[in-house]
Amino acid sequence: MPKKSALGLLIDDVHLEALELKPSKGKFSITNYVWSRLPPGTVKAGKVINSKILASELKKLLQAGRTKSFKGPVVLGLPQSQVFLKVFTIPKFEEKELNEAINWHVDSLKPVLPQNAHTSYEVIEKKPNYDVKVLLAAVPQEVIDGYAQTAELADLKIDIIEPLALSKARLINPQRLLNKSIISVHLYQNQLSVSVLINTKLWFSKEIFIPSGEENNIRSAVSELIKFFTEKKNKDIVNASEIIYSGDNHGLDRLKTSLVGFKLPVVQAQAGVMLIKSQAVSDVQSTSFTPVLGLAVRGNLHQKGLINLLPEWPKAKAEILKLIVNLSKAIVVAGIIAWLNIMVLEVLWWQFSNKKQNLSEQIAKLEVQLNEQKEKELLTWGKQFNQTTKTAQLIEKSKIDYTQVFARLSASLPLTVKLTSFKYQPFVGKWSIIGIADKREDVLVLDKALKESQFFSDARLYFSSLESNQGVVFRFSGGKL
Amino acid sequence: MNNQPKLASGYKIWIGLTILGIVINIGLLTMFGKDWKTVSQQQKQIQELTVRINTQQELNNQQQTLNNKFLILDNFFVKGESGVAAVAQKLEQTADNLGLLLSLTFEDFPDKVDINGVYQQGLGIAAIVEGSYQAVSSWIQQIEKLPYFISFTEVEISPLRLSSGIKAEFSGTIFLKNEQ
Repeated sequence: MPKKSALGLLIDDVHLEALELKPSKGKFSITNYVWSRLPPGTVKAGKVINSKILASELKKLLQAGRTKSFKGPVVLGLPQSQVFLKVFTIPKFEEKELNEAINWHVDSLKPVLPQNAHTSYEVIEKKPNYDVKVLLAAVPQEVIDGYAQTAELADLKIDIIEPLALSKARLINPQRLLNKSIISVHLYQNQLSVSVLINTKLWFSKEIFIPSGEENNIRSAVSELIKFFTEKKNKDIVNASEIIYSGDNHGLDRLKTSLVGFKLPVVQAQAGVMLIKSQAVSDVQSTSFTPVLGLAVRGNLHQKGLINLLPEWPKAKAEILKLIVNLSKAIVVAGIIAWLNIMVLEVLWWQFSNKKQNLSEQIAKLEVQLNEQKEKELLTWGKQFNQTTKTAQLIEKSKIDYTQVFARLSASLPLTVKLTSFKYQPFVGKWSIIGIADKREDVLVLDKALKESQFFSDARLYFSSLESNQGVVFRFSGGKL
Repeated sequence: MNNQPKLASGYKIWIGLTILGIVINIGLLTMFGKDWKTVSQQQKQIQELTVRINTQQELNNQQQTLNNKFLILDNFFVKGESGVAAVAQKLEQTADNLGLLLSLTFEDFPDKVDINGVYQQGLGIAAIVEGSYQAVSSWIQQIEKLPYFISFTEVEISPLRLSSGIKAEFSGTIFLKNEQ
C-alpha cells in the first residue's frame, strides 16, 4: 500500500467536498475533511455551468482545508446522473485480443451511449473458460471537459475521474458481498443511490434526490430496482439475497423506517474502509460511508485496469507544464552554477593576475642577475675548455714512450739483426718494424723474442721476409702498444 | 493547494541571468585561459633563467678554479709561427746539449689532423738526429717532456757510414692552437 496521501473530491449541484486520506498500517487516517456550499447554478445535474465560479470555490475550499502542500493523487467523483454504466459480456480472448475485442464492443455500443462520449472500462470478471464481464462507463465529453477546465483554472491536477457509484460501492465491506447479488441502498445528504452489486462488483446504479418526507419514494426506488434486476439479469447471475443500507446518520434513520416489508432481508452495511480516529472528523463511524471517502481510497489503489474517465489532454498538458517547470528549475540551477563559477573564476583570475605580476617582477630580477655578456664569455670558455681538454687527452693517449720501445726492442734483438725503421700509427693503433738480418734464423729468433715479450706479443712476421737466407730484409707489424 | 505545474514569473529573469552568467563565464574563461598561458610561459622563463644563472655560476666557479690549469694546458698547443720557431729552437738546443746533429724539416703550412673525430691544427715535422744511440734515446726522452704537444709517429734508424752511432729520422706532428 502506498504511503502517499490521496485526495478525494466530490462536486455535486449544491456543494463541494474534499477529503485527504493517509494510509497507515493497513488502515486509513483522514487528515483533512472540508466541504462548502456552491452558489446556485454553478453545477446543474452534474454538469459544470460556470467553471470560473466553481474553480474559485474549489480554491477557497482547498485553502480552507490547508492542503497546499498536498502532493498525492487527486480523485474526482462524477455524479451518476451524467454517467452511463453498462455491464456487457464478451467471449474469452487472449490479453491483447481481449482489449481489441472490448474496444470493438464499446464501439458497437456507441448508438446507445451519450453523444461524443468519453469512455472507460474495467474487466470485472474473468474466469478460466468463462465469458469475460466488462463494466463500461461513458460520460459526455463536454461534462468531463467542464471538470477538467475547472481543475485547470483552480491550478489543481486531477489524476483520476471515476463515477461516484463506484466509490460508494467501495465503502461497503467486500466480505459481505462475495458470491452474492446485493441490493445496496445509500442515502447521503438526501441523495439516494440504489445499486446492484454482484460479487462485490457494481452491476447497475441509479441516483435520485429524495427530500425529507418523501420516504415512500425510497421504497419505490428499491422495489423498482429489484424488479429491474430480476428481469434483466442473466441466468448465471444469482438472485438478490439481501438489501444492505448505508449513509449519513440522517440517511440511516430514514432508511431504517423506509426499508420495511421487503421479502429480502434488510441489513445495515458494514464499513469497508478501516479508519483511525483523527482530529479532522468528529464521527469516524458516519464518515465511513461518505462518498468522498471512496474517492480518496481510489487514490490509494494501485490496481491496473480500473475505470478512469480522465481524458488525455489534461494529462498531456500537465506533462508539458511539468517539463517546462523542470526545465526552468534546470535553468535556475544552471544560472546559480554559472554565477558561482563566475565568483570562483573571479577569485582565480585575481590570484592569477597577482601571480603574473609577481612572476614578472621575479623575471626582471633574474634578468638583472643574469649577465648575458658574461654568460656568453663563460660558455665560450667552457666550450674551449672541454675541447682543449679532450684534444689533449687524445693526444696524450696516442703518444708512445719511445725510450721504452727502444729499450724493449734492444732487449729482443739478436746481435746480427739491425732495425732500420719503426713506424707507429697512434690513432689507428698499429706499429711496424723494418730491419736487416744476416740469416733467416736470426729473423726467426727475433720473431720468437717479440712474441714472447708482453710488449710486442701480437707481432706478425711478414712471410716475404723469409725469401732469402742472406741479408734478409724483414718486416713485422702489430696492434696497440 | 497548488500542485499543478506552473511557471513562476521570475523564470524569465532567471533565464536572462543564466545566459548572462554563461556569457560572462565564457569571457572570464577566455581571459583566464590567456593569463594561465602567460603564467605558464613566465614560470618556464623563470625556470630557464634560473638554470642559466646556475650554469653561469657553476662555470664561473670552474673558471676561477680551472683557468690557470687550462691556460697551461692551452699553451701546450703551439701558437703560430713564433711558437713553431720556439719549438724548433728548443729541439735544436736539446740536440745540441746532447751532442747530436739535428736537421729539422717542417711542412709548408699546417693542416687539420683527425684525432679520433676531433680536428686539431697540426704541422708536419721531420727530425733527423745523428749521434750515439744513448744520446738519440735521451733526446727523444727530453722532447717528450717538453711543454708542447709533439707526436712522433715514425722513426727510421740506420747506422752512420763514417763513424759509430746511428741516424734516426723521426716523423710526426706539432699540434698548433686552433685559429678562432
